[in-house]
Amino acid sequence: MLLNRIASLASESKWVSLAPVEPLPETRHDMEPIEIRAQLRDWIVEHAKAKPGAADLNDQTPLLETGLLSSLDIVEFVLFIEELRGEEVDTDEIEPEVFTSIDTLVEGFFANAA
Amino acid sequence: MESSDELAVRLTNLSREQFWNVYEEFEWPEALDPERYQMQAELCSLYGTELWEDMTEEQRKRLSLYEIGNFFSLTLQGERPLVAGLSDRLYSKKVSSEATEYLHHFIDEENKHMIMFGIFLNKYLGKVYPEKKISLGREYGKGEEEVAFFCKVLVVEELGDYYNVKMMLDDSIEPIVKRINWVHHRDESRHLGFGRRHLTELAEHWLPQWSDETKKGFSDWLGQYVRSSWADFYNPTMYKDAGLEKPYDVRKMALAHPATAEHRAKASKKLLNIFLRLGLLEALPAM
Repeated sequence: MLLNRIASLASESKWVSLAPVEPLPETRHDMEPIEIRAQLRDWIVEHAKAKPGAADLNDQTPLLETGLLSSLDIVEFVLFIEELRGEEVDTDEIEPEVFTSIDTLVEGFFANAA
Repeated sequence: MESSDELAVRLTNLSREQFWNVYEEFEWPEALDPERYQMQAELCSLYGTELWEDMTEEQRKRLSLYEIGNFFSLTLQGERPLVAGLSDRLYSKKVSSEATEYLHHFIDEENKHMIMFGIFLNKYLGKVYPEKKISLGREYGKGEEEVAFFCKVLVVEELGDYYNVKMMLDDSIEPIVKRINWVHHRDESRHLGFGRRHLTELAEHWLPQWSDETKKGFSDWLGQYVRSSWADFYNPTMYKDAGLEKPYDVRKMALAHPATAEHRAKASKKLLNIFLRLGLLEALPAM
């Protein structure tokens, strides 16, 4: 029991460091485009209010018109995209149209991987 | 009961009596004291989690600087659309002439708050945390946009005021932070009084005209809006700036932790009770 707790603390303590953390440890520039699309699709399927079947959601499906994404989902989605691409998103430079479909998301946020 | 117009006249007089100059109100120290907490410890987003327990006092104090930076940034970012929306209502048929008179003060005070937060953030953090919101537009039923706007005003102000009241009397935190919280609360107590009264009148006017479907849709949206507003308190960039590794995992852990859920429920209680009493929320949303 005690050993488990110590192991757990040791594992948790990896989160705490005063050393500068630059760039983000989750940098994932090397992800394959097919994997990025799959991750985006999974997130949308998991978070959409109107649950689409996996077969109903392709890379051209309109995400906004169909109500799969709403304004209130965007912050969480942007943070997920940041985590996926390993760098922050500057929302001042983003047009809402980038959220039109998985294709436009990949083009807008993962240009290097597309 | 005092109408919102009568209240607006009273609040206008109070704002004129307490008129203040943002450039003379504060003595900005050269630097913040690293030995002090900046954000009150109990209000830090990781408080009550195992991660917080494992952090040293030095690490907690360092995090508290970025926590106060995130809180002031959130408030500043929330006040921008608020000022835009209030300006849009000046001299319009949406508000009375008495309310327009008060809105001039409301806008003036919000503008001064943004200046105050901006000075603090640029001086001590070197930046304002950007917001991640992107407006996608939405179709509204009759009256929905007006009610939604004043609900958003109340969310920004009620949640912010919970933090202001906790910190404005706390001698353990940095004195300039305590002072900013006090000054903010002084104005916000008037804004909240007006906002609650105005929203009450809007709800009494529009809710009887909405279908059950519209009411349900609005209630769902409002619950989700409050939850998403809370999520902004768990900013991964803030965790990264404080030197925490895996900042996105820290955010997910903190948001899912029962201790933080309890804090959110407690801090939202007054706000959610107002929405429930007015019939804008049909049930308490999960925090």
